[in-house]
Amino acid sequence: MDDVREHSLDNGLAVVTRELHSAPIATFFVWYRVGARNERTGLSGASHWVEHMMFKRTERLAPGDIGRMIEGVGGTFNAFTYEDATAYHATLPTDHLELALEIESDRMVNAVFAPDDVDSERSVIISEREGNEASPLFLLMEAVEAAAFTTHPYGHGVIGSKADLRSMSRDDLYGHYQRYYGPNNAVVVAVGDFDAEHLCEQVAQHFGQLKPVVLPAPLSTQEPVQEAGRRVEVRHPGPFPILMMCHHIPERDHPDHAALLVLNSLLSGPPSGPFGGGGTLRTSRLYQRFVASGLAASAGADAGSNIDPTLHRILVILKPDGSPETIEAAVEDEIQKLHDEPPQPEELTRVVRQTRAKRAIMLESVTAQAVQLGMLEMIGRWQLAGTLTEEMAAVTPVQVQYVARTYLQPTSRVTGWFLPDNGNGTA
Amino acid sequence: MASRSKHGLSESTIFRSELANGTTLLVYPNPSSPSVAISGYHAAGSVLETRDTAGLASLTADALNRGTPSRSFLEFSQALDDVGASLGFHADTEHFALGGRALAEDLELLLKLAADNLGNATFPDVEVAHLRDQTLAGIAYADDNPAATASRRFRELLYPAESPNGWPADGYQQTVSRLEPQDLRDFHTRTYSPANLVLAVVGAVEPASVFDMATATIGAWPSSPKSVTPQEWRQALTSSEGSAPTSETSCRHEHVPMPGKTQIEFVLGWLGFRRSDPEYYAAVIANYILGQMGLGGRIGTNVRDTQGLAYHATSSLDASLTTQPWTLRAGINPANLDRAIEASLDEALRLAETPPEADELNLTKQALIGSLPLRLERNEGIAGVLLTMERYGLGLNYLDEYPDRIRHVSASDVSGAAATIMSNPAYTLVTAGPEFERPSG
Repeated sequence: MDDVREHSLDNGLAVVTRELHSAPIATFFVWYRVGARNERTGLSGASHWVEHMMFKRTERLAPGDIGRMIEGVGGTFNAFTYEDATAYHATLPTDHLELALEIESDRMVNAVFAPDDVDSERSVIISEREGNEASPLFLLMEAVEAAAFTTHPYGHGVIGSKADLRSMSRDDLYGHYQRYYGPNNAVVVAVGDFDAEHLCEQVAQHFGQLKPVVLPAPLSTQEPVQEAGRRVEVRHPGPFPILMMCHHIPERDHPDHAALLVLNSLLSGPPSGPFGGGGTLRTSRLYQRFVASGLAASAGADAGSNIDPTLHRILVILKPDGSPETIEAAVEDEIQKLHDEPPQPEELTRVVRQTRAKRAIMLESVTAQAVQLGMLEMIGRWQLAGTLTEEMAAVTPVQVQYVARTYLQPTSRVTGWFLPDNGNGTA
Repeated sequence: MASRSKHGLSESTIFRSELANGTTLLVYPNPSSPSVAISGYHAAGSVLETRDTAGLASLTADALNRGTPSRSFLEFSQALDDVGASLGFHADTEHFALGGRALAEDLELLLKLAADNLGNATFPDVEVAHLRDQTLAGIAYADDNPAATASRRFRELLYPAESPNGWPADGYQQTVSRLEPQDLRDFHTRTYSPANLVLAVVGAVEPASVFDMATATIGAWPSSPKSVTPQEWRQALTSSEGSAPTSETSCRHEHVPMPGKTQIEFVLGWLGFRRSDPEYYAAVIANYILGQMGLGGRIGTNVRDTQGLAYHATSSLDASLTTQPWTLRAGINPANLDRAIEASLDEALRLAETPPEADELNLTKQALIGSLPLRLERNEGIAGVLLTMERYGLGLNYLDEYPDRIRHVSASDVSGAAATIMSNPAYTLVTAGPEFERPSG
């Protein structure tokens, strides 16, 4: 990542660029340091709703204009919100990259939040939530997160509770926007076929006049240490039982994070992106124990990577006739193995080799590269993009055992079950 | 082999050749990437199975890597995982498909494994039993999803009962649970043949080197005299065609009750076009205007932005070697279902009756033409385009010709394509979700 350039404007806007001339395209992201973690009680889902409103109206743009402008030149666009941040992006043929700057600099400060638009979007977001509710996994994850975080905002999902979505007012949303949207709370990330120096000049031209906002005090809420294991059950119509076994783990910037990534790679597979992903490898411990053996339909794990302490998740989808007791005991047994014995050095060597290859393949696209840089910069460390594999390579077998013993403990555990209730008393 | 020109994806830069066993090989060097993608298709989809064995083609494809005389499933997985590569197989209605990714230095390994799986799969009993259970779980999961359920039931109603286009490629609980390893072995012997395989390789590779590697691996897969011929496969495709109801036929409505769900998913549609139909490009533009542009085209603007009824409301145009559906879809609270259906149909009929204005038409054409570089950014995307060219006989200069094919579509062509399909009042409507009072009409 020697070719990544960092720059900042006087108003606090950070700019991270990487030239890549393999195709005549470029991607432009604006990341805001606001997500579900910044939502107080009663405003769950506000960050995501604000994201929707950013496609509505500014003083210059009407609903639909952004789509017409970007797609009209062959580009794509979208946005996403997660626990720690909200990001807006467009990928375009290089000649039209400045369109993205025009749009993003405008809606950074000029979104209108017309009451009618807020009302119509309220039912759209409730519809989005109701669509999610069709998934047993969504229902289970929502229940597990609520049980795991009693104090920290990570306990409410990104989309928000239906009660909050019904009661939130236009002013609540607009206030959220005004508090967090400004150049000093944003990071521009651009990757692609451009001249970085020229692009920085364009960024200064479009964003340089925007005034910084007075940001709320940084979030100080800390989740109390969990003293004993917790259990949660979701009983609902569905096809089969699902186990989500979570443990509290530290934040992304913690020194133990690399060892947790290696641990997770042994259980499930290497991360293809900065924050996990990559799917379950068939040679992984969980796949071999549960799927290859015929015990379960699927199994995998994910080490969360967040600004604040978060969760490691193990997910096992049972077969319709699967025994929850047997599966839960088997997962506990896999964890115990990590406690009892450090992994073999060759296992770690394989993890690093897999990670290197997966990431090289994943990072073919300019969009994937910008996602990586932006997500890491949300914790102030885009430089990790170039060192992730090396960090993992430096992890020793004993360190893996240490993090397993430290974090994957019954007292830090939240065990969630989705149990089908199809009206006949059976799964 | 063709000589190579400096830029672009065209006859002069795509290396097309045929291996001695009949496999077609397409290679496009992309030196800017450290990786390689292989993609392929083969005439062995569910058109070659029966209603009673629905899911056989898919399970056979999924099970190809479960064991050969020289490698167990675990050894196959280790070979890939050790180098961070992937290789998978699946089947849809018309084809079997394979896809793999690796660092370019591991291309030979990918080809070797693919050749072993394609030619020597043994379908071990235990592995097939595990895979069948996983497939059954996947079907159960899809049956629990309102959108997937509505799509499945829509196709069942749209196509004749014996058309493979009407059943899911994964099959049904009752058909998949009856499939035995010997069924897979027989299907493999009957349908898999190197002469029916088209393989694309894209990445940091040299075409001559790829040709040599492919010859030594895929090229060593011998032809089987028992295999289905391309003619027999095409006959099966023809037999799988549906027929559009006449305008005298009334609409078909069906609701699939799904207790515990909050939202209804609807699929409303008609039989549309084949990829080879002359109206295809006009239909692509019509579909983009109707349900794709921005956050769902005119339907999205009406149903989502203006009325605030749904998170997703779109239209979807499928087209392949056989006639595929053109559908309108949304996920809706039951209280808003009638309004959303009415609004979607209104937009479809408005487009069918009134050609789009020049601004809207030109914007759509620019979007379709201008997005080509984005679609060709990744090796996988390029490989997909190569296979599309081959599958539909579009020629290796297709991308050079594509802008003109789009530009030449007129506003009346667009409304004409919409009218051909959507003016037919005999649509098929499936809703899936909680119980509700059915819409009238």
